[in-house]
Amino acid sequence: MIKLAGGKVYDPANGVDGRIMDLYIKDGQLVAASAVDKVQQVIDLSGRIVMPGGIDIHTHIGGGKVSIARLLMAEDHNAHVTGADDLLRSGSGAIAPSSFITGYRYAEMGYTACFEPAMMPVNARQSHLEMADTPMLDTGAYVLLGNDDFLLRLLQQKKDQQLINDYVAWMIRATRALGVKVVNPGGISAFKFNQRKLDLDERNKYYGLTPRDVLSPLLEALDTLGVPHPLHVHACNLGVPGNFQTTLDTIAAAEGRPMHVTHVQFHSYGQEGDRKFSSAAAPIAEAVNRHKNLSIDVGQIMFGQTVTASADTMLQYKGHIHAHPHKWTCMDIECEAGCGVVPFRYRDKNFVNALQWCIGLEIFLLTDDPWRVFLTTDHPNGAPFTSYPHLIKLLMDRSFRNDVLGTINPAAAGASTLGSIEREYSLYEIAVITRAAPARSLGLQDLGHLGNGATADITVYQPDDDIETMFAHPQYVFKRGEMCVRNGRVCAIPTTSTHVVEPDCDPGIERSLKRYFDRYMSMNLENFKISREELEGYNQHSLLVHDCR
Amino acid sequence: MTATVTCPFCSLLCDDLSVRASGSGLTVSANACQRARQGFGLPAPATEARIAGVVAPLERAVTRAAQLLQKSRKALLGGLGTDVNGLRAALRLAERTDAALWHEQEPYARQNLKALQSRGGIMTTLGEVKNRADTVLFIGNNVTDNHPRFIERCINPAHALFAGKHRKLGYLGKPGRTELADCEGHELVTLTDQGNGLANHLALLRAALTQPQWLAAAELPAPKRNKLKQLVDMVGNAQYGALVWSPAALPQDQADLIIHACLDLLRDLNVKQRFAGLSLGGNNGGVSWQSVATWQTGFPAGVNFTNGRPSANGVQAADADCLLWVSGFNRQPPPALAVPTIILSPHQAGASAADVYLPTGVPGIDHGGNLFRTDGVIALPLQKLRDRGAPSAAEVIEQIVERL
Ligand code: SF4
Ligand SMILES: [Zn+2]
Repeated sequence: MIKLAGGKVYDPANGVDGRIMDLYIKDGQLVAASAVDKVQQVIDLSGRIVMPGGIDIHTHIGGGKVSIARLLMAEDHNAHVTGADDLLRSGSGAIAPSSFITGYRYAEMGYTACFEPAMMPVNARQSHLEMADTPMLDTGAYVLLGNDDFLLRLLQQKKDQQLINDYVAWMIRATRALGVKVVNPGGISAFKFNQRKLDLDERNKYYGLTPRDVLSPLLEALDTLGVPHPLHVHACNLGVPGNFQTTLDTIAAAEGRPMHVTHVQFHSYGQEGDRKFSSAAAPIAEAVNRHKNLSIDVGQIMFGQTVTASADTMLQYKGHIHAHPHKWTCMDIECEAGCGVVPFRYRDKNFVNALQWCIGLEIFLLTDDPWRVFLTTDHPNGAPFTSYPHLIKLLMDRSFRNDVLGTINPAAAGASTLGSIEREYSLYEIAVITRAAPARSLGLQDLGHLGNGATADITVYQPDDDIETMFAHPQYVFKRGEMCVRNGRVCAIPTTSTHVVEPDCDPGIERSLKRYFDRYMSMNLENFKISREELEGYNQHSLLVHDCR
Repeated sequence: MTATVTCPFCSLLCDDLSVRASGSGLTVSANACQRARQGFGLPAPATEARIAGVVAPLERAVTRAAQLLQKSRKALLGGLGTDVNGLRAALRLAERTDAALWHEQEPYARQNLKALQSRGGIMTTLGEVKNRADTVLFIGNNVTDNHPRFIERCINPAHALFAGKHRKLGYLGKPGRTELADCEGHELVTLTDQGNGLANHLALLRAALTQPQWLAAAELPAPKRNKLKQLVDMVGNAQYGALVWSPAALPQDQADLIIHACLDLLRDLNVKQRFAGLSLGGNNGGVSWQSVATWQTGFPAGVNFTNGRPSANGVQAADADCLLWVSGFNRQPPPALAVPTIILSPHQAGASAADVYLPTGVPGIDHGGNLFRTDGVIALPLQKLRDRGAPSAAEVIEQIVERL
């Protein structure tokens, strides 16, 4: 039994806003003082800041596209190599680091759970294998649907919603997912038919379906199945000037059903001004504020070299002209989805990039309910996850923010309202957007808070004049009650879990799927499914099944 | 028994086989090619470990292997014919012993990798070719030789979602006899050349495709011009085309050039239409090696550890002072190096000459696991089909690591 004594605790899920209190850990869980029989160890946390472990709701850490990114970013891997020691495995890369390094760096930043947002069904096995080799972190993934031929045919044939629900549930179970993501609904498929753009109400020329036709039944399915995390939506027209209208239309298309719109920064572009590129953060933030059914993550960009990796081949192909260095990969995958990987350098002196930076921050600052806003850079698309402490400083420190604003492309700075926004995030709000809110959205009842019964995933910070330093180097991180980071360095490798849901589905769906697999897929249905034993065998990972509503 | 056995003997990983025990081996009764029949038919693994050719308890042999590796300063873990778990273990061992790793398919894979790392590619998968590609252009000679059921599964499937029964096929190079037979019923245009070389032909085709006026003006013999014209029309009319090559089937002195040219051609074509590449390669765990090495170390090939730090400096077998050879899928003996040699294999090829021989099972026969398919996206589970007590390479390597 461990007593964490006298820390200043930020635990928004329990309404605790900077209260000095003691925490007790027993068998990996937080318990009430009254449940304590004998304290073996007291750790004095007076003067320290205590939060639940960080949770990243959208980070590309597992699966084929990350590895393609690693392959393309050879220079970055050559330049950043880390050796092994008695405790730690080796690896390389700062932008899309290799798997062990990813786990260590996240933990050293106080994060204890990360979720891969775009797990292609046929690539699920690889995603889980990679995540099993990503230490320190609990993981989970959202299975990618909405460009898969089987589903598009069901929709084309106007099949009963019940059948769609069964299919979605079956896919979640077969691939061991925690949620469902849709990327450019029907658009990845359309690209394979040589369509180069697809608006919300434009038809995929083979199936005759519009993105709206695909979105709606998927929203319905997740709602009906009671999957805690709502449909995770990467809308159409990613990165296209003027796309904010599509985003507003997409929000309206949800018709009040729960929906998560991801990396919304990339979908908040107007086309005003001489350069036909402007910020539409204000109308987007206003829509987010008004639609309580909605949550977002921002997908903030940061200046510097990164690599973008997305299932959205249609838009990634279009974006390849901006590739830096000039190499890029697109892949069509199994009549199911695709992937596009384009290295990119965001430049602070470039008008568009500088304005993208402003737009992300404007969204953070103009949305008024932090419980529906999650902190992400869409790692590595907007920036590597290691830039989070810097991002937090931008959110918390207006004068710092305005200093940086003064150094970027002046036309962009002038075109943005950022300089006039006074808001500064509080520590409490940071704890919401990096812990409590993502946990609540994902239905992780035992994570993201420090109440009794919670998993003892805890981060302890040493206050610093520079808030970036504080967030970059936590003093302690506890995973399931075990101290695994001390003074900003990994000191133990804890056991971790894969988080999944298992919504009910009519087993009858498997008969139609079996027929479909036998005819069209290039693998057997039995081999497509990932069994619990298989997953747990990858790395003695335990599977945590969360309840559906 | 339903036919869901995954075949580990080439990177197509067909998983529609059915297999039954017969004598000391296994017999495949459905859907296997010759290569698979041969693989499944190999005798069951040896059960006895050896030290310097003499039968020894496994424990002692493992300890001896650990000693040799510990003493070495530049060990080479070679062959790497094993599954995902075997590769994960090998990386662990290399990290602990500052060893280098080298997969037997790497000389071919490297050509692909070099091109992909310098340019990137527009690629596709088996399922897309099967269902969507109405046009397929093969680049090389006997392109599918080491992937025998490619044409059966992807060009002649019984059912396809989009592509019709009859496909348009082009062959830049020389098709093999079985390939020709398998392609019967499809329109096939071959541009085979005795002298000029494949790279040259590819350049001609690229020029003809990107600059239509060039072809009319070019000084070419009429038959060649006609063939090129046919290929240009075929490619231009494709709804969805696939360009298929196999690094191992390319003339090795031109492979680099040819693969670059393929990727460039794909970039050109995709400006107006959809066309994507598929590389057939990475047998014997080669694709798995590239995948696991990439996610664990950040480097896809030629991984080399010094002081536990990975690099992609490549590997000189001649520099090695100790060789650990893993060959789970075939009887390939280790290269003859005058250094202490440890063999992990079901088969005893070279075992009597080795310092240590550690018997292991065949992945997908003696133990389960995972392998990655040639398109690099799909990992398939392997099944355990018999129980003769043969451990996996992963288990044996982990035992070695424990004794370091
Ligand atoms: S083609 Fe390859 S995977 Fe398929 S049966 Fe033959 S050897 Fe096995
Ligand atoms: Zn993303």
